[in-house]
Amino acid sequence: MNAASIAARQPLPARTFTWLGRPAAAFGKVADKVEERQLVQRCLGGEARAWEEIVRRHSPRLYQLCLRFTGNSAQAEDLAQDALLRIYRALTSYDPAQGSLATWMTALTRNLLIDHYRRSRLERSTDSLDDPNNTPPAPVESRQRQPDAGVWQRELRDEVQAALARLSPELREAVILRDLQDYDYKEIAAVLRIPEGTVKSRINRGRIELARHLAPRLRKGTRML
Amino acid sequence: MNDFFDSLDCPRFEEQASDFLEGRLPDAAAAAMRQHARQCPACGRLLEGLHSALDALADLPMPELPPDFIPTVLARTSGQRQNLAGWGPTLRSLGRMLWQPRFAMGLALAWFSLALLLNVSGTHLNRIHAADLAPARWPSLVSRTVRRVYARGVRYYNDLRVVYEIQAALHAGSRQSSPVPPAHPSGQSQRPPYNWNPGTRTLARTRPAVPPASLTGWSLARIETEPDWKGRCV
Ligand SMILES: [Zn+2]
Repeated sequence: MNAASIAARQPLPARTFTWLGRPAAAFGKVADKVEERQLVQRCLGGEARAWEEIVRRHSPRLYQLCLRFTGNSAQAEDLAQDALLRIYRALTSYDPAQGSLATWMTALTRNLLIDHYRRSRLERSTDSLDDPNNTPPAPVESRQRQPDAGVWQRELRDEVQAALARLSPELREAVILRDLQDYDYKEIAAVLRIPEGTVKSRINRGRIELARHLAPRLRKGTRML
Repeated sequence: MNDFFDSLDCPRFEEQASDFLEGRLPDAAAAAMRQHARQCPACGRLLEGLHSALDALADLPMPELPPDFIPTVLARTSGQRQNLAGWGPTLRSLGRMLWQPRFAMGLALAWFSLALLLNVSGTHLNRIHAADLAPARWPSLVSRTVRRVYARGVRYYNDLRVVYEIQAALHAGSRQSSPVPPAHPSGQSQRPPYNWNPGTRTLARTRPAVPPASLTGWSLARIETEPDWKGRCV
């Protein structure tokens, strides 16, 4: 794969992200918004099943956001649960006119993640791990054996996670929301409360930085495959 | 197209890289990007790396939720359901419940029964004033109703008593003119013809038989001396 072939293959094929079995793009449609509004109303009316439905529907995505942001499954579990608790208590303040329930829930979770990030940075009292310019130790690789494609793919996933962790929180959250959660620029602007132009710029910078961190591994993978 | 190509330096290429890959650029700008990528090795590598990174991100699977995640969330939120939205939703759901035919019927029946009870006890809602509803007035309202019911009972009892007296006097008068009935076989004292309890002090046995004309006057006098509850209460 070279630059010319990529340049010739434009635009990118539509990515098929799925969110709980249906395309993420399906969310945000009028019917879904009406159903979502009714679900929230039923929940506010004290219907336990409605809240359970909200939890079941949104938990995987919120957990994914927390996991990809922190890179730690235990922390992600605690944070996502705290976020849902906070969402539950604040549900009366949700205004469907301001955006989808998913966007609102993501914004609350994101605030929690940023609080957690600041707290843990203070606790560590060292910026060595958070400084994106610092290069972490290179992953240990076996020169003796050639890993098969499955192992290589698993390792690549670990490296992508590690590369995400090396991005600054501003770039990291923008890339996660766009490329893993499939939000559009407008929705990300609403979640992060920044202008759409800034969102676009952060996504681009985040991707380029991620690509630079992954470049050695990806070049090796290209040669291997 | 030449304008785009001429103005497209490396920083500008990098700035537009994501837009190009997502197909957000106009045709002319996209063509200039392609042209630059073919001619500039650094920007070509950047585009290639960016494409691979996006593929790698897309390849990240949706993580599986820990098995006890949802039960834990539901358990942590279950006790707080009532105070979630204050009283508004509770009242609305109560309203919806009352609108159902069964509850409306039950409510109507309960109201009917209450109205019947109030009517029997002599309480008229249209005579109750706002001032009567003050808690301080409740004891007097209750005692007034009780006294009124009691007075009715007393009047009824007295009327009944007068009837018995007349009956007793008439019976005594007829007995004087008739022959003495035979003694009871068991030797007990003779019973009055009406079913009166002999253990109690009955007027038929203690009062002397008087002519019926004076009886009327006596019973009227007794009625006049009745306590005037109504006068004291209203
Ligand atoms: Zn260039």
